[in-house]
Amino acid sequence: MDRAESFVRTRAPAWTAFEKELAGVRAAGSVPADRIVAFARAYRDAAADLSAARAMGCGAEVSLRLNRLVSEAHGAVYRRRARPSTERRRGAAARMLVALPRAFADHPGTALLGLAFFLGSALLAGLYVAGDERRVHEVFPTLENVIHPGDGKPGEKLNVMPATLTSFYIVNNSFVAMNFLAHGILLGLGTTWFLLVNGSVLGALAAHFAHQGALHRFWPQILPHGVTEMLAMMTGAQAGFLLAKAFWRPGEYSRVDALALRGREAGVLALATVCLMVWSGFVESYLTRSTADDGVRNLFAAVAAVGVAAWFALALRAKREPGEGDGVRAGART
Amino acid sequence: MFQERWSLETPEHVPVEFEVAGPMSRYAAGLYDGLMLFCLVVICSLLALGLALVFSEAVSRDAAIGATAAFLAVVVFGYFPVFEYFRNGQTPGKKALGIRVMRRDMRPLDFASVFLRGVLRIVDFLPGLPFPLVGLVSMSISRRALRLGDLAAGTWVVRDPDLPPHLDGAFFSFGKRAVVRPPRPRTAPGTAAAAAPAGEGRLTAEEFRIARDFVERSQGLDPEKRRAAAVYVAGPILRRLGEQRFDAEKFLREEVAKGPAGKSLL
Repeated sequence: MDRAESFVRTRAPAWTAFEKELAGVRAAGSVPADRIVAFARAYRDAAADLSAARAMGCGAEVSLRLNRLVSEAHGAVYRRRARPSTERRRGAAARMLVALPRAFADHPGTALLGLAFFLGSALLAGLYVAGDERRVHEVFPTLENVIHPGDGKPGEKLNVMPATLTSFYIVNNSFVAMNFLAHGILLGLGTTWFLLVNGSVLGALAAHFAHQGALHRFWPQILPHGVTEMLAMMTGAQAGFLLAKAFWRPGEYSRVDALALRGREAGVLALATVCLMVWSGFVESYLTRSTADDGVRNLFAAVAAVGVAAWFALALRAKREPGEGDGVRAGART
Repeated sequence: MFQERWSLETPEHVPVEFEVAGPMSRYAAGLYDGLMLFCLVVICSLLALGLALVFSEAVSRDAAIGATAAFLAVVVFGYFPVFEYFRNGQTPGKKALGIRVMRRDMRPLDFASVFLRGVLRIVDFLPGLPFPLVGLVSMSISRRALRLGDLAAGTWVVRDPDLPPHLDGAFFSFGKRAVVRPPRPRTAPGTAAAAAPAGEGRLTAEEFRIARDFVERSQGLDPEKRRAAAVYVAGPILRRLGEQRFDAEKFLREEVAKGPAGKSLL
């Protein structure tokens, strides 16, 4: 009996036992608590056996059997925790709170680029409409359905109820922000396009209100929800440009690895964007579209702006965890 | 064109091979999930309508519509990320097709990754068609069958080591998998077929046909692929016979020479 055959005969019962245990884990969905240590040990043994079987030339059948065993066991050993502890959940929430300000601080170039596209297009569209007020319909064809520069309160013009409106705003605005992000993968061109379109609408609207002599009515209709909504859109755009940056400036990584690396940051920003949009959806339907006085609206917008500034300041002062910001190992190069 | 098998290193520094799920099996899983999602939305809508009628006096119409719309949006947008995160990388469609999402660095899936690959479906479905044109093109030209969402999220979709028995045939195999993976033998070790005396053909007619096809067609393959294919073909037969052989290719040649059960070619 040669060495390889002896190895297989000695180890085969352990593999069979582990296969049976894996079948049980597959059926139950997770490793039983009292078997975790033994299961992890059996997994490591199987991984070592796979390595040894290849080295000894035990044949393809044995290698394939062990490969299956190890790959499936890996999924069970390294799976996500079934119930994250309260501490871990709090840690994840805290990381998300600081991730957004840090994404802007760590990549100021992409943040400024997004802001420049948005404000630049707003300015150009504003100048375009200021030249001839009728041009506002070219930039914003559905203007009359959305916002009015007249004296009436915006809530009086809308025959839609606030809870329904909240759902609409949250879903619609989140989808728009996700477009900012997703189209970043098209080398950033898609994100740029969405920024230009949305900036143009804002600029054209401001010029339209100014032309009607109602600019004082414009900001109270925009700012209360606009502070967080603008931040959410800029966050979506930042995430989109991070994906684009992986193509344009991958640095020391391959483009695929850089994309996976930036994608991890973009994923957290996408979650933050949705949270911001939920908040701004409530504000837009219950405050902006209400019959509240402009003073109340402006005060709310100011408080929101101060809140965002304080959030950024505190987050940027918070200590980084070891390894944070150094980049996460992207997909294994194979 | 995508390559079927890839090797990744576990944290224990042992390379493990995975079989990449091809574009068509992923598309089939997507269709399955689309159908599930449609049914889910219809059921939720009917349920919400029923609840609204029952509690029409206690709950305002506005609140009912708002809550239903928000819930449906969560169902539609959350279906893929939630299933992939909580069900170890498997939506119902992926589970039915025996495939799962994994991170390419072999770490556990995190919610940001599955959420991002979900968001990137917006681009994979461009230009507004009911099927993911960009995604399919991306998967077809990528060697690891990655769609844009996988590229950005650092994930890929692999086949489970064992397919569910009802899909272990050629129906979803599309192409070369149909050749290298025979149907799972229906007889258990120790049955009459397994107990056939040595020296006579022991393969069932179906096994013999597949083994003979392998022997006839495998000459042009490079040695590594030929060995891997031989293991696929011989594995289920050896399990049925309750035997273990180190050289699957040699075993197949020997068995083909003997002919199918009950006959001898010699």
